[in-house]
Amino acid sequence: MGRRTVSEWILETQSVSKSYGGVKAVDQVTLRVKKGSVTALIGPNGSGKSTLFNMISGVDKPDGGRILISEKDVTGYPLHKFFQMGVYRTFQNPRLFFGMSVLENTLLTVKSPGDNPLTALLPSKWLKRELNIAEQAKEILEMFRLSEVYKNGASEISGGQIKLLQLAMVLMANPRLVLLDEPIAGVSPHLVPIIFNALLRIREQGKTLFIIEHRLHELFEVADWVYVMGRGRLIASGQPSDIIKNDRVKEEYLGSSIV
Amino acid sequence: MGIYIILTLSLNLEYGYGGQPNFGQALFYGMGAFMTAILTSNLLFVFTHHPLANICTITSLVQRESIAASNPVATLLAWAISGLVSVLVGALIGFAASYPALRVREEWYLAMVLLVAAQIFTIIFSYDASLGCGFDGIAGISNPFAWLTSTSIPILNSNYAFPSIYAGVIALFAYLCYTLTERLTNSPFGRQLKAVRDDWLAASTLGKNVNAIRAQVMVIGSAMASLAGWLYVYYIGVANTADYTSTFTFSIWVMMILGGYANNRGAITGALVLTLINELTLVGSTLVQTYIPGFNPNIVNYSKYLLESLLLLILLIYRPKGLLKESRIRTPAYTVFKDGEKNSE
Repeated sequence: MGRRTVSEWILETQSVSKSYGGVKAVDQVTLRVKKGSVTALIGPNGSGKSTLFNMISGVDKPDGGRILISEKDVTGYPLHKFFQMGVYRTFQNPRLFFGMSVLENTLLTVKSPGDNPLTALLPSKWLKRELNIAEQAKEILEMFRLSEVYKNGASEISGGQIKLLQLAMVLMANPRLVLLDEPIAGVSPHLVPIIFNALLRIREQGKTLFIIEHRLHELFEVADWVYVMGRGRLIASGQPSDIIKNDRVKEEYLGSSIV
Repeated sequence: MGIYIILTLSLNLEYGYGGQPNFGQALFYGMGAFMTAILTSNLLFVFTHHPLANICTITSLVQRESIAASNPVATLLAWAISGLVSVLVGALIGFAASYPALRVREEWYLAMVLLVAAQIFTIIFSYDASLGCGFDGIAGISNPFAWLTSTSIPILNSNYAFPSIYAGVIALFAYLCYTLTERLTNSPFGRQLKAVRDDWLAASTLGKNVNAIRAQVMVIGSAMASLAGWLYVYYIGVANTADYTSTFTFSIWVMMILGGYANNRGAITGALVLTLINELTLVGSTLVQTYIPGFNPNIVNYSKYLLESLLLLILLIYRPKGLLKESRIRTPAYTVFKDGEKNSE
């Protein structure tokens, strides 16, 4: 990583740490994510990847260190503020609103004047916006082949469809930085290219993707930069081609060939 | 009946949609009732230039009843003002109650907090006579239309007219509350509410200010419950802590569970079914008293608890989600998709 102008980085963590009952889940991690890039975060299970994601997305507060989003120190901000800063995060086990329909889930990612209980009583104040976002939702759901199940509850669609719905919601929310926690884990093979196509489309729109994923073969095809974590620490970073050759990384993955 | 509907709609908004288990419904309901009784008793004297007196004495009770029977302006003014203040106070207490809700992540702690608060409320108002006349309660709150009997308008001055008019007013308020909750829930706000109920953390990562949404729903819900308390006191004529116990809270819960969560029509259905059982057993006990001498009519009267519990058990086994299904958030967004379906056909 050469020295570049600060504005190139959408995300920076500075010596971020988090412990759970004496175990250092994340230990002094400092990394940067370039605007518009696809950056990968890899490492064996329990290496602290998800914990780091939790802190970057505001779900957990770090014990030490700072988190900067678009140069702004957001350490200690309330959770909903992170979304307003343009951070969108998906979870390893999808956290959707399972009592609600596919369409309702999609619409939830955008703001409306009718979010306020007082204006909610006056449909004229939010009707136009509602129809606009519904049109947009329709386009996006069609793109993910979800438009036929728009009325179905989120608990009534397949696991693969749930993963697609998550990405549809990302597109709908129009964030600047997308944190994806294992977007293709447990997905049937024929869906993987669809999901990666969607990821590339999200990047084409100028968004930054920061991805945790164990299926490195697919991930390294799209990633610009890779960070590797092991036992809570950052142990390597570089371009995918360099990371594959890195001995330290191989060792962390218990000597197995990683790709 | 209308009062039960309002209370069930309020609880359904808080729990069915918002996931906030309010075990203190009686607190908000009772607060509205006592606020109304205290205000009315004093306001009637103020409006008629009487010196303020202890509202608990028989003399003052008789006095306010005679004012209500003869002075329509003072009565209606006191009625309206006490209503407004009750709703505002209810909203304020709701806001205060949402405060612990923000501190406790597990919503069932909120249930406990509110249950205890409601108990404290009844205990204080029962034992401290300076607040609400103790166990006797504040009596002599006449029907706001009782003065009609002193007029010379035919039909309206009969002894049946004014209770019927007031029943109509209650029904009107129940209808207003229904349209209000329908509008509120079938909107982007309703969508947020359900999202917070389903997964507050996920809702929060989508930029929803969970604390604010929880506070908003508690404020609206408790204002509605206080409104019901206001209407009830003028209907029954007395504010007595015996009417605002936790047992009462749970009968509202039964109505909601019976009718179905997150469905406003379900809430009304639940309230209707339970009121019907109550009325039928009451009629039954009167009939038994008249025609079967020596048989304890209370056996029939109290059988309502048995019937209600039985109904609840049967329902929980065969239709755990209530009589009516949870409704979708009906906004025009769905029509956008429907149009597409028609075009492609």
